This record gives sequence, C-alpha cells and structure tokens, in this order.
Amino acid sequence: MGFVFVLGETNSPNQTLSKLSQLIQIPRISLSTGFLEENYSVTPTQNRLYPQMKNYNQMDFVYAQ
Amino acid sequence: MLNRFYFALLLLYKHKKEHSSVFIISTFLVFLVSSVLFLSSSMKRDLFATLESQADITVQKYIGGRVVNLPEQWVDEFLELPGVSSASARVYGEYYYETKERHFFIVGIDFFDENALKLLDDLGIKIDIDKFLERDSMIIGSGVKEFFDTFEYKKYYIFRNPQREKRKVYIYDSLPSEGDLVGSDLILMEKDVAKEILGIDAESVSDIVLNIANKDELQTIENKLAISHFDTRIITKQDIKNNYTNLFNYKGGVFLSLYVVVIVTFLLVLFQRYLSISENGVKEVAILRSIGWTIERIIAMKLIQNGVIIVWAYLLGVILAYFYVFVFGAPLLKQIFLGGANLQNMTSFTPYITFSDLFLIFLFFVVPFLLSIIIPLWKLSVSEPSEVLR
Repeated sequence: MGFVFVLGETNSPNQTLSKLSQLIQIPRISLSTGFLEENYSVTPTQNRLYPQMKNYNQMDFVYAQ
Repeated sequence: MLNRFYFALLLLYKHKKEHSSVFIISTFLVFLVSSVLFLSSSMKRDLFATLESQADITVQKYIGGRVVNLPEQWVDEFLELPGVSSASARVYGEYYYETKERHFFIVGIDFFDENALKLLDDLGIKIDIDKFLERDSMIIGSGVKEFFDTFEYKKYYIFRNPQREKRKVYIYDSLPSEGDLVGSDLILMEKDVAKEILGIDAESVSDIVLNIANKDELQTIENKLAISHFDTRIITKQDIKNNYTNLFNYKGGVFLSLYVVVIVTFLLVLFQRYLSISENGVKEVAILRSIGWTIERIIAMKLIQNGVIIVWAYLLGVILAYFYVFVFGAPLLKQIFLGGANLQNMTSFTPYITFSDLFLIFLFFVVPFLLSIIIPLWKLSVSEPSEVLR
C-alpha cells in the first residue's frame, strides 16, 4: 500500500481482488452482517433464519429490486 | 489587508483556549465524515474493478421465489445460441458451521483449467496438480484459516454433506489477506468435491455464466434465454453494478444521515455559543468600534479567525482520516461496511481519494459552519459601543 498519491489517480485497484474475482467468477463481497445485505446482497444470503436447514446450496438469492 | 489578517491571527492566538474546543470538535467531525467517504470510495472502486472481469450474463433457475440448481447440460444448449462466445457452469454455496454459527463460502474450481492455475499462480499459490488431486484438497481464505487455526483444524477439516456423511478435505494453502474483501470466507476445492459437500447432484450446477461477443446483442440474447427456459432468472453485469452502487449509497447514506444530525447539533451549539459570547468578547468589539472600525471590518475579522480555525480543522481531519483508513485499515468503522458477525476480515484498503470527495466534505462542513456563526457575529458587531463600555 502506497503512501504517495495524486488526487483522482491514486494507486491502481487491488490486483489480488481482481485475480481472485476472475478465478471464482462470482461477483461477491464477503460481508458478514445481516444489516443491509439481506436487501442488497449480490451473494447468497446466509440463511440466518433457518439454520436448521441442511441443504445449504438451496439458499435464496436476494437481489435488490 | 495583511495587517488586518495579522491582527486577526494575533487575537486568535490570544484567545486560543476559547477556540480550542471548537477546533477539536470540528477536526473530529471532519475526520469522521472523511473516513466514511474515503472508505466507501476505496471499496467501491476495488469492487467495481473486480466486476470488469465478470461474465456478461448469469443464468439461474428460479422456482417458487428461490434459486435452485440447474442441469449442467444447459451449458451446451446455451453455447449453441448465436452470439454467445463462452458459457461455463459455476458450483458454489455456503457451508454452515453450526457450533459457532459461522458460514464458509465454498466454490468449486476446475483445477485442470490452465487459466485457473495461472490465476492461482499470480495469487502466489503454486499448485502441484498431482499432489493436489492425490487426496481431497482445498485452498482457504485467510478468515477461514484463522478460524480453522483457532479450532485446531491445522491439516484438514471434515465436512458433512446434507446427508450427514463425512468428507475429509485437506488444507493445501491459504489465500493472501489482500483479497479479503472478496475471499475472507472462501474455500476453493475441486468441483466434484464441492458438489458432494453442498449436496448438488453430479449432473447439476449452481448456475451458468455466459459471455457474449457483441455487447449490442445483450438484450436479444437475454430474450432468447428467457424464452428457452421460462423458469430462469437472468442477471446482467449492469444489474450487479447497480446492486453494488445501491449497497454503497445505502450504507454511506445511513452514515451521512447520522452525520447530518450530529453536525446540526454542533452548529446549534456553536450558534448559541456565539450569541452568548463572554463579556470580554463584547468589550473587545466595542473597543474596536469606538476606535473607528466599521461593522463590516469587525465581521470580516471574526470570519477570518473562524475561517483559519475551520480550514485547519478540515485539513487535519482529512489527513487523520487518510491515515486511519488507508494506513491503519479503518478499525471499527470498516465493520459498518463489512460487518463483524462472521469470519474476521483483515482486508486493507487501496488509497483512493477524489476531488469530489474532498469538495463534498468541504461543502458538508465548512460552509454550514461559517453560515451558522455569521448571524451571531453580526449581532455582536452592531451592539452600541458606548452602552457596552458603560
């Protein structure tokens, strides 16, 4: 992480993130609160409501309407 | 003019104790709002950069308001659509660690794909494919690694599939923590292993992503996909971009609305403070008036004094926020955006500041500050000097 920056044209975006994102091919943020993600998630919701449900792959996807 | 400025500074220095509380609170407020804006812009930029490499269209099967797995053979079917340049199946899902109520995000990767191996190599993970496939192996995110270490899963972890059958998967390597924004809770493993742990049939996949050759054909291809299977949901890259924008605007907006409440309170206190200014302050103005200073000149002098305070508070607040966010990784505040309920996220933020952010902070703080003191200053300046001195 660099200290020196020029306004508007600062350090290039995080390369590790780009590579990782290309690798998994899934747009996601590893958010972990239920605060807003419930409404605005671009990843599967974390099934907080039904933790007893065992088939986790069938979780709902909530996209902002 | 320079003399007047010098005199204003001298007075400011003389009454430095009176002004110090305003300076400290102002610095703190600027620091707070700058931190949020810096954090939000930096994350937004990084995440939007990751979107560029994503597929143009995602196709999911959607039944009864829920996303369900879809047959893998749809990949071949979609590839036959004119205009589709590539299609691939994705296998992923969340794995729930019941005892601690934590979630891991499992992604199935094709480790025979040269591109995937190259990307892993770029991430600093050298894959010896024979060794990797000799037994079930996985690559874990840094948050998962820390979690596993805490519970002494140093070499392997035993997953249970939905039928409660055990599957031991060995830890091969871990992802760098710079990628935590995307991969803190990530577990990468062979597609077949991922399918078994997540309870996905061998012939099914989670969803399918498509790339199209000509972006102008996006709408046509969307229509064709919708017609081919009516129970599908089609998500374009633009939809995801809109979601990201909403997410950050919402989170930033919640914080900014709280900030507005705080700043209004502060400005009211400031307004009140200048209205009930000390006897010495009133006397000072009266003396200046009696030696011939005009009302405008007195207001100008007071504005210079407050302007100096606020500009310094602004600069100091912004600099402190820069260090707090980009050097120290915004402890506490990042939880607003990332949350702290699941695995630890050690992400760092790429320094990114725009003029618009700085201007916004200026607009949100310096302008209301000066506006809130101008009326009390005027009231003070127009007081009759002979009466005050008597």
